[in-house]
Amino acid sequence: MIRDDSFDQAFLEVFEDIFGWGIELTDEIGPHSLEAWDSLAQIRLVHELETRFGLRLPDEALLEQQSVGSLKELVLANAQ
Amino acid sequence: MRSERELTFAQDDIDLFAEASGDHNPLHVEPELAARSAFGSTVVPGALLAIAMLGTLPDDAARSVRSLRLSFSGPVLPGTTVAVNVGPSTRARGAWELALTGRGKTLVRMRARVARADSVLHQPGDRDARALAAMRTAPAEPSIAELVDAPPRFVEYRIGDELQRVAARWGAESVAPAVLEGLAWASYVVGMEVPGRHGLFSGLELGVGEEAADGVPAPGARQELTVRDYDDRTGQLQIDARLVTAAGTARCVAAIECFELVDTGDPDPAALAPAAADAAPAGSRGLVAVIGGSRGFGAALTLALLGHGHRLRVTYASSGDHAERLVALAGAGRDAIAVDRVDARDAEAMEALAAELRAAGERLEGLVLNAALPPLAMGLTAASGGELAAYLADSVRLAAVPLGALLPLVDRDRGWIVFCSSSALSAPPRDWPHYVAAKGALEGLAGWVAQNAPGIRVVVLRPPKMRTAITSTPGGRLGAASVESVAAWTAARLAGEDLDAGVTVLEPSLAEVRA
Repeated sequence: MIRDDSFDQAFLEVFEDIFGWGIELTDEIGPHSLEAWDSLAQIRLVHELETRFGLRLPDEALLEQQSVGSLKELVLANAQ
Repeated sequence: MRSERELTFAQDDIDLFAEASGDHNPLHVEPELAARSAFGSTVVPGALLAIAMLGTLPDDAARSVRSLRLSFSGPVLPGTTVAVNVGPSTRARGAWELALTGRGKTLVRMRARVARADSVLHQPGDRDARALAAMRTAPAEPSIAELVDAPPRFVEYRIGDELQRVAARWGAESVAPAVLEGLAWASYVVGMEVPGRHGLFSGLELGVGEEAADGVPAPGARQELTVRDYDDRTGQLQIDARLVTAAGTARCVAAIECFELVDTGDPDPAALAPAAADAAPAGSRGLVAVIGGSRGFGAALTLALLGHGHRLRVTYASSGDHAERLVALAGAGRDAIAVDRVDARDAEAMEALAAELRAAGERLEGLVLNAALPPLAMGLTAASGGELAAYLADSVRLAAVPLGALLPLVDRDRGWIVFCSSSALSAPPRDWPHYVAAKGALEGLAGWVAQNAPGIRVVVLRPPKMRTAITSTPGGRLGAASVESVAAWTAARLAGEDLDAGVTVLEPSLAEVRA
């Protein structure tokens, strides 16, 4: 898996699915810039990313504070 | 144009919804049991919130809703006031966006649409009306295996007449009956069937059949429930569900997201026994008072201190059955433990306990201030600042009242006091400003004792996240330590000779307590 337009689009769709339409997704976005990104939202994000990309992310994806950029890196690092 | 309306839910509203939906989960209807949950109170059912939110739509819009998507971010407690902000979507024609806010945070988001959502059309499996189970009156408690590998289950469902009164109470009479029924039914599914007793409703996509949108629900409906996914890290469940009429047509189709919360068991005495060199016969060392000690970390620390030879006096506010089990868990050391039902905030009762100890000529070798309030996620806004202050005041009271009563009894030469703080103070979580403020105040009190009661060894304990009732939330137990590991580690430090007079901050890492 590589980071191309289709990867970014799939990522955007997951975030829109969780947080609603019209999100401007930059790598810096995280809990500090998005009120809806709480611990429950992070569980939903990880679950949706795992389902969408067919992979299992490490526990740190759930345990530690993430950002859009760090989640993208985790998805790419754990893809088959 | 958007509008906003304030709502307050009473326990009576919850009870009426329970009758309407059949969702009699204790988290909603049994205040004493719910008081011990991570929420410290009963919780307004999410589906009831949704019905009240739909009641804020203009009548025409409410009448035309055929599908909705709900996402819950935090509980709403009875007696608290929340606000619903509602307006037409600027991004999708015919859709409405609603948000319910409280504690400075958005707690529920809803998108309501005229059209039925394609994503809820999943078919859960073959029908077998002959295997129809009866509706439950007490919630199921399935094992993980029963949840994950179960075939689709078929259960009868009958909505209560009370649903019309619920709708009228919240101005939702215009909403299509099948939408109201679908919400009530989804609540029943999570609270009573899958996962049942330990279920927490967190999200829903609901669609209703066009032919079912109007009219009175027909009797003899059945539910078809299939667990699509279970995440063993967080307890998250995805359920595909249909509500089918006796005639065989789908009345409601739902994709339900929920969590199975982990029940907090009793502490394991075997995991709390000190090393052989440190063990002492129960009752051979001085008296320790544990405030808030009938369950969780307080109970574990009580048993660990017992293993080090202390006599224990334990107070608890409400968990009488836990207190009885704690004494039983002490085994041969049970005579060295006494338990008292005393609310730590009750000054008169605390003074009575102190007077009793004084009359018996007792001195305290140790005092553990462990009583605490569960923190509900909160955002810090001007409006929620008052709620933060109220939480802070109540939390400080839980420590200050017993400290005021018992400090004169603590031995000034060799006594110690443990203030149970939290490692959250070193890395404050975004949604817990009230919790870290309360623990900060507690630590301030510890400093005051060290300065003004010289000779007493003051311990500020900042444990890592532990598996307790407070962390029995979605994902709350990820990376958490067992109460036994932290309690055994703490008791060993208290028994050692390396505590100095003044304040000692103990902040063990997860690795240290597990070692």
